[in-house]
Amino acid sequence: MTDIAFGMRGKMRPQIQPAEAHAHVGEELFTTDWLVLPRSRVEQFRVGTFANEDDADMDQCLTNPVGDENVDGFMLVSLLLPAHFNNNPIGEPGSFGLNYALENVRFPAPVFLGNRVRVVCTLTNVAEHSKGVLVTTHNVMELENSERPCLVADWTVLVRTVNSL
Amino acid sequence: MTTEDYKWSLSENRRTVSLNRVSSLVGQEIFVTNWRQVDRLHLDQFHWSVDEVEETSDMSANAKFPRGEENIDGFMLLSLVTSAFFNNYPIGGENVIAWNYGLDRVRFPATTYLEDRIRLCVSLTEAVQKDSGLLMTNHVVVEIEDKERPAMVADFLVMLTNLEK
Repeated sequence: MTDIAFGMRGKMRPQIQPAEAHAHVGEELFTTDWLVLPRSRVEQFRVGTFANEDDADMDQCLTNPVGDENVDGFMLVSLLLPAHFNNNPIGEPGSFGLNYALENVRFPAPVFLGNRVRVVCTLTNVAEHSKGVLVTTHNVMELENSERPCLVADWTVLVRTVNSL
Repeated sequence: MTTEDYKWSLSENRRTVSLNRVSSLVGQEIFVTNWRQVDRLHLDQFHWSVDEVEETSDMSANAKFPRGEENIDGFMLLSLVTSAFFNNYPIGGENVIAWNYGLDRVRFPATTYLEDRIRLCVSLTEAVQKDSGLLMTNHVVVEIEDKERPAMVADFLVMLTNLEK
């Protein structure tokens, strides 16, 4: 088991030029490795986002039946970052992505500490933008041994290329 | 600058409105937070917790991002919504628990940096009774001081369940 998010397969990923991405709409772009979510990481996330007893009133969570074993939904959303950094094949030297939008984010199944998750990412839309190319992906975060995923999200990134700067 | 300038303050009105009085709040602004900054330590904790660091992820796609080191990620802003709600959300009470149900129409209009002061303005746009509880649509705007465009806008869906029922 690795602590490294979603493997480093991205180092060897094939490149799809942003200008050519439209030809791949409808294709699955990548499926990540399974990632385990240990308590140490979840607690680090809570500290970083001020969702802990030192910085916030956590009383409401004490009555929650799933309690502190539950992995925060927005941590799952945030894990789309390394999933894409390490696996998304769209890009070219010098290009970078700006976080543009999220749509239809849902958390169908709860995730608990120690569960394993992975991201299946499909390219759903590519659109021209005055500052680059808008790339939209449908992301399903699967939960091991669960029929329902723990996260679905449509994520749009504005890919700025060297030419667009 | 004190540490309080880097935290969400605690509202006395948090969780004082019971579920049967929610309808009177639909269409209203329900809370505005204090102005605050995000410090480097917490931003780094966030990066580490979700592997957004060179040690574990391929960050080369980020290398050309202008002032990337001082940028506050969109998903960090999103994750700060949780602790802001813990400290300010006026609806709730004993035995009422809140579930992160989902997000719609999330946008990041302005890039946000460590020196920026931000605050949350939240309006309740809809409250719908479902089998499992009361589904609240909260329109969230993360404002940046002295800037016209906000850092983030989002419709945050929260399901409130009364455990006594």
